Amino acid sequence: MFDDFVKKVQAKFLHFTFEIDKAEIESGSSWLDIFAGNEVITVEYRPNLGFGIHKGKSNDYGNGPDEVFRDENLIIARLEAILVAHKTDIRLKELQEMFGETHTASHETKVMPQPENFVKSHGGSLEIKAHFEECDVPISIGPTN
Amino acid sequence: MNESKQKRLQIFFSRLFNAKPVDTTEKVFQLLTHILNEVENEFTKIPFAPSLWMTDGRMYAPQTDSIRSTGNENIIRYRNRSHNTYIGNNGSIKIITVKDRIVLLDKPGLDGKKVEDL
Repeated sequence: MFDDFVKKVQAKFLHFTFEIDKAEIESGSSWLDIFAGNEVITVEYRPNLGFGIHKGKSNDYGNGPDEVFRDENLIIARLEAILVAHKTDIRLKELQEMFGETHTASHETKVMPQPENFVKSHGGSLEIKAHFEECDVPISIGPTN
Repeated sequence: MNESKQKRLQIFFSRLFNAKPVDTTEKVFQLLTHILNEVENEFTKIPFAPSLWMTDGRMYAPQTDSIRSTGNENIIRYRNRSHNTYIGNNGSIKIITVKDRIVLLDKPGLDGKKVEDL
């Protein structure tokens, strides 16, 4: 599974440098580091749990991934958005585009109440994480990047 | 209120570096695990739930099945998100970033030898 995924990623993203750190124990995580200029995007693959994307921060130790995918096509689409279109954060539009590549059914969107003003006025920051059968991803609600 | 990850990481490295040296692979792995859990329990309200490690935002010690050989029988390596952690059989430990190969921690074992001395 991991080997096939690596081959697909390397074939699709020809202009990047890769380092592969494959698990020596079957249940362990394997890692694919993708070096893109000064940034590194790391993909973690763990059997039975799927793929995680780590977006290069090193101000933690042993944290889980920023985004989790259980569908190989979906994570490749997401890597394309990050590496080629430089869409590091996921907004609702990117989420729709991402699913559009693997889903033929249209996804209904509804306008949600915006509690961010309340949270910000109390010194907090709002985090929204979307959970799907195929993935868990944070949705950015800040200014467009 | 949770402390920032940056702050928790600094405290973790400081406590680990200043802890009494140990003399085996197992003891230094236990030391790392104990101090990291201690810091996370003290400075966050995120409960210890290793099964949620992919999504809960808590820092966890390397999973035992992330162990790797290094070509040197005296040293093993654990890989996690942004770091490689090298552990010597004399209780030494060295933590290096994956991206820039920056050494964040280089603690000798009880015999005074560092990982690169093995």
